[in-house]
Amino acid sequence: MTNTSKTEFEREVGRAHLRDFIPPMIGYAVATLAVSLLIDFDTAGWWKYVVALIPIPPALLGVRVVSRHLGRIDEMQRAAHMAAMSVGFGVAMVVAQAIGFLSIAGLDTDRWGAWLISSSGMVGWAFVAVRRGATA
Amino acid sequence: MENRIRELRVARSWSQATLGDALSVSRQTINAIENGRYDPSLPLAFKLAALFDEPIEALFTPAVVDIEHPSY
Repeated sequence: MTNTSKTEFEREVGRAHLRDFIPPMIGYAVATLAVSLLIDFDTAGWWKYVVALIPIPPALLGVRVVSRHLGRIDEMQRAAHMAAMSVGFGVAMVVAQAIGFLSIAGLDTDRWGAWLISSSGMVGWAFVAVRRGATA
Repeated sequence: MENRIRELRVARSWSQATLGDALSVSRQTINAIENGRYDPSLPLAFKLAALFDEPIEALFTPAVVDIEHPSY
């Protein structure tokens, strides 16, 4: 009586999430690639700061996609994601503090610090979400 | 909270996915409820009660809160 098949509800939610998720992610990938390949940040003028932020609008759309997804999934999955996000946030804050201390100690964290903070937060979120039974 | 969801579901020969479809929730949610890892909201508990044609108190039994082992 216990199987691993998905319910129609899950499949519908998954399809809707994929429809929402793909365009901003393609936008983010294209924008990041274009910015990193087409601009020489060492020689470009003040406008390089504007160009550097081009990947942010698609990333913001990604935040909206996550918000819409949380509104679609069922209550247990939502609770799992909320708990996972709170852990992910905590992990990111601790990693930020660790990077801060390393920076004070003299380590050059400029190039990788911010990426490690955001990715550690996402890994913490994903790890706890899966452990709590969130599948989408 | 303890519950009789698995017992009632198996008595009807329903899979977890079948019950999940009837309630518009995931199979994992049914599994978590049956194993006591998730307490359903009041609306979902009422849906379960209606589906099994049982009063809500026949489905769920309150458990003693374990302060030493919080669910979060």
